[in-house]
Amino acid sequence: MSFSGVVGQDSAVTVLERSLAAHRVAHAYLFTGIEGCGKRTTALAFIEAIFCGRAEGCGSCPSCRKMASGQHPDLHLVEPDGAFIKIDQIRELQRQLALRPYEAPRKGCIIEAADRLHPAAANALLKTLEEPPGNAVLILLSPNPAGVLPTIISRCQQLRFASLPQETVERLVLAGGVEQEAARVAASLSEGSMAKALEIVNGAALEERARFIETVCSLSVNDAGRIFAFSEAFDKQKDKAAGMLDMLQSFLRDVLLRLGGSPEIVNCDLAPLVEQVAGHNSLDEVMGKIGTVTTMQQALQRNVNPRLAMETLVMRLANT
Amino acid sequence: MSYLVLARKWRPQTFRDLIGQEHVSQTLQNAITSGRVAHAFLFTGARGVGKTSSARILAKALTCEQGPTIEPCNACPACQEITNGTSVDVFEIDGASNTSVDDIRELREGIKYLPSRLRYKIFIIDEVHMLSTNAFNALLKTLEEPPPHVKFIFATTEPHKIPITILSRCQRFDFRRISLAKLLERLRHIVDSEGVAISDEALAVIARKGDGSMRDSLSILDQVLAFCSTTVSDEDVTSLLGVVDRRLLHDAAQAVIGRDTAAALDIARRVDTVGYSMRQFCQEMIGYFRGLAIVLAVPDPASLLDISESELQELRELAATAPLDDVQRHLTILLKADTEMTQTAFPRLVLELALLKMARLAPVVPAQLLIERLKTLESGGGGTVASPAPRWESAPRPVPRQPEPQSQKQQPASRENAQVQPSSTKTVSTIDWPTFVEFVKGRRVGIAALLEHGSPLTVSPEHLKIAFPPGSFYLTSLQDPENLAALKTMAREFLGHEPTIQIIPLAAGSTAAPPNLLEKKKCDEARELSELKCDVRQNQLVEGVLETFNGEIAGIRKLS
Amino acid sequence: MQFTVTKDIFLKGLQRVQSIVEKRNTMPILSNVLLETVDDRLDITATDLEVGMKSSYPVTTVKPGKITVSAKKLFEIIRELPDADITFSTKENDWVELRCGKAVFNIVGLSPDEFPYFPSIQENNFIKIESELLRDMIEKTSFAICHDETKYNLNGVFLKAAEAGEKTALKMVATDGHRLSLMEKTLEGSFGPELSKGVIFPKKGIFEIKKFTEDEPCELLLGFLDNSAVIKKNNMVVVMRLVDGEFPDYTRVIPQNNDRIVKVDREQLFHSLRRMAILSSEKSKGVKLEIDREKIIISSSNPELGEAREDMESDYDGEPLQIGFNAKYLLDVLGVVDSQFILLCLRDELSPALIRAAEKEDFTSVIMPMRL
Repeated sequence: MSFSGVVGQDSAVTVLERSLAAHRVAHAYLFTGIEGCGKRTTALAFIEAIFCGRAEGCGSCPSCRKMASGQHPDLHLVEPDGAFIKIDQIRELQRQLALRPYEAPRKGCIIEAADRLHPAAANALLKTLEEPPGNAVLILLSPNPAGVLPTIISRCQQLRFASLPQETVERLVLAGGVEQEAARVAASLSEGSMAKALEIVNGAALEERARFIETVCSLSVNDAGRIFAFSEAFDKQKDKAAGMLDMLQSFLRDVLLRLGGSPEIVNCDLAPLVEQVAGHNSLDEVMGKIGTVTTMQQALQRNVNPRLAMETLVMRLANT
Repeated sequence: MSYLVLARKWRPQTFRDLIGQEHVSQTLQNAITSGRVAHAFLFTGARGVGKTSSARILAKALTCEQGPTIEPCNACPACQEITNGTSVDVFEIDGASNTSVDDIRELREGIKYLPSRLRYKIFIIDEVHMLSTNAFNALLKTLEEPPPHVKFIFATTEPHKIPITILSRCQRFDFRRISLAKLLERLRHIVDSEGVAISDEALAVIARKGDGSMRDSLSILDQVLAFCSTTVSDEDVTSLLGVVDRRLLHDAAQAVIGRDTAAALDIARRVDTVGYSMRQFCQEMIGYFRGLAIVLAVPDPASLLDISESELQELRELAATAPLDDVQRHLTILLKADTEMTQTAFPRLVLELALLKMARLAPVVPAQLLIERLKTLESGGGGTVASPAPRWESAPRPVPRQPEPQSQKQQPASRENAQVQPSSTKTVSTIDWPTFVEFVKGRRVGIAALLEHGSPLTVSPEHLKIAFPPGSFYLTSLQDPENLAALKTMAREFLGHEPTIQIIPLAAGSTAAPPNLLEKKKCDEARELSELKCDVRQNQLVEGVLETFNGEIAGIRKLS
Repeated sequence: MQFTVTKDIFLKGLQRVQSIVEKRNTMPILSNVLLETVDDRLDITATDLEVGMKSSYPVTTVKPGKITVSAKKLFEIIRELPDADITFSTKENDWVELRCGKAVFNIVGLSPDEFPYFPSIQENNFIKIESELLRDMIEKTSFAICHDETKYNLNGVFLKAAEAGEKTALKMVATDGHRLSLMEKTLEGSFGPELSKGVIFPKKGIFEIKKFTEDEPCELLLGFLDNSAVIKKNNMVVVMRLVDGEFPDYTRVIPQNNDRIVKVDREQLFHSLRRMAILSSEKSKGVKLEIDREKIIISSSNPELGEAREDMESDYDGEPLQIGFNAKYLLDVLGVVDSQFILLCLRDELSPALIRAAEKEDFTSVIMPMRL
């Protein structure tokens, strides 16, 4: 896991490389950027380089090998335990940081999903983040900086990670031995997240998504029976329902862009359907439908029964 | 030795170094000089404006071997230990990790012991808002009468979470956001001392991004220096900090004001390509539209806007094409989008929707113009007025629904001729009871509420005869001369002349009286519901559901 | 790797490290012990990253090598084996075969490469210290260690050396902000830069060392490596990570002008304080000492319970004085001092009190008075 393994984050990587070279490594960083764009990989590469004492981790010394196997005694990882990072996890971290490093020149710590720090945990972290005991480097990661306490952000050097360009994602997916067409669609649906692209390709979700969208577009208010049968499939399948809603949202966005006069289309494999739906709906209607999908996405997050959510959604979207 | 970030390296160590909080330093120094130092302080203010630093400076000033003094010497062991955080008599307690009542009890036990070598035992509690209610209560007694060797300094970013009982026992200091000029001055001093070459413009970009917080500004400066080392170019700063190009903002504003949806969508694409955060772009758009609003609203906008002359000129030109009302509606859409972005996984879509909504915003017809049009209509002249706004419809004035004839009840004769617009300019020949009550409601709600309970026996422009249950509160209240006079005045206003008004008790056992307004409303609702039920039953989908599940309709709710 | 070892030796070696192996499951390999054979020696290593222990035992090595296996399971197996020679050999994929008499065990191991690095010890720059002397120092200071985990720099004992003529003066200090205790001993030998600057031993490590000193008396070696302290005893090495922080300048806490000196019988004062403490408040245990030329009056009162007083003879020729203390703090000190009389050195009712043994000068304790 070295900097060369990080793809498409040149600016963030350059900042870190230069701070290493200039001996200006700060004690607290906040990496922000969408899920799956390389924050964690970069953080690990950065800490590996610090531990290794070189501009980039050599990959072969004992320290780098331990980093590679995730067994380095001076690397402390904190991630949400359930919905939150709890205060006890932060206390344990502080206990660990109170001691001098085991074998590395400094202590390293990566806190994942910093937006999911429980408020008590986040506040408890403030002192450590401002003046960590001894020489520790703390790296916080978050896909949603808006959810991180401003008092936390203020104590960190913030680095933005860009979404990966569509071509990069496509190239990487292709390199994994995926067919050209599927790679292209997955890349365009990925919103610049490698993690999401792989999820789409591996989950065989592309076909299912196409069927889902086609069905939703074809249902009419009078198809009560079909609507219920359709929603039945999402009974107790929260993740699946959420995934499909994301896809539907993306499709409706294409329709919206089509009507708004933008040439861009994400769901390129469904272009005729986009055309067709655009022909039957006004811009306002499409905006309304997107609103409906958003409402249902939020409902799912609040643990509404997925089947019920789907029923409501399809009824509201159904053609009258 | 590991690198010490600027915010720590340049943490102010004397009141003199404390930037932008002169009102605090002055008061504290005066207190020290006059020997009237309070025993508990509360420092409040946004992040990174100097609360914890001030607490440490105050601790040093009070316990310095040369002191108590208005500036700590920072040379004696007492000062140095506080700076290094190793003093045994200055306790920096993290309020967030010690929130429970037991933690506070522990602290209460601790204060009984005398300081081991400083003049005072000083407790600095940071993030004090995190204490539990019980913990705060446990502190109360101590705060009121602490032993003379103890001082408390609380610091928080959220003073509203501190109970009032604690607030009243502390001397409170509100720390201000640091002004751009002061931030700049300090940043300049620091970069010069660090031997860094950087332009004033680039420093201004950093300070602006620091948003009134010294620590934020220094964190950003640190990042810039990590990237650029000792020579910092303006381009590096703008690209590194993701400062949104003003051109893009201008294009975006022009696209939505020009109602060009395709161009608006293209803006979102450009934002994405360049790699700006959608939320940041949205916030900068808010700033940009705020600028437009200010240019439109204030004769001398330069004092309120922190921008260059050319930028101001650009805003002026754009502002000439958009009325203030529109700009405000754009702002509303943007502000809503900004909050939505905190919850969405797909911020780009939120931005696109917002831009589309803005680009399709129907122009506002000024209220004054509408009133004038209405007046023209009322005076009978002018004929039709073509609306220049294609999508605009003036909301009709709410007219209460006409009561339907009730089969078993006699209707007053006058009820058939309704639909009268009240007007003070001409005499009305007919009068509609609900409209009149509505009119009264606009002036005297109390009287209208009373009237709603009355049965209108006679309602004509010349004569109003309203009956109330005998001995009721409504009856006596309305018979009160003052209320009656007010009612008469309103009737005159409504009709253009004064009718005779009779408020009488309802004859016992009279069933012939028309229903009062409240009863009527209930009837109307019931009828509406039964109509709805009928409609619902006829719906094919519902029919199918009822049949399939052998169900029945439990209730019907109208969606607003 | 392959070796033969007697059950007794293997069992003893594994038992030693049971208290060290990681109970929490942060890194799976930490619940394993590292076994390594070089020549006819078996090294058993365990660590929880805070404290590590390595001990060597005589074995017959057939083939040198190393492996890690679960410390708990291996210990359980060896414990139940018959009293005979055990043959231990590694197979492919980190499997281990154990043979003893007719019993055969095949157990899974983990690659030794992932085991945390254990510093190799060279014997220069170590200072020699008698185990009894070290135990004495730990006993007389560790009670004052701070238990508030947020003050991490006080969560241990501070060790610092200074030159004292030909010899070395070693000081051990602990404090929790309300009291401080200091031991000072002179030793043979020189010391390195770590000790001259001073280091903080973590609480957990100090108690492991104390266990070490409780066996039969012997000579210990104390040295430093990277960020760890190393204690060596015969065939055993304990390594512990030091606290990453600065200890406050304790010398300034020790009062210099406490010229009102009371000489008291230690045991008498100890028992009197225990009696008086019964009626003092639950937490702060406040007792009052009224001292004049004839006697000391010790008293306590508690509005909910009542009051108590007791007087005892004193040897004092200064002005009368009243002072309040936490009885527990005094008792902690009186409990560890081993001399018949102690000296209570005071200045006034608001200044720190200093306690020493009347006959020896190696121990100093400072206690902050409290307002009663």
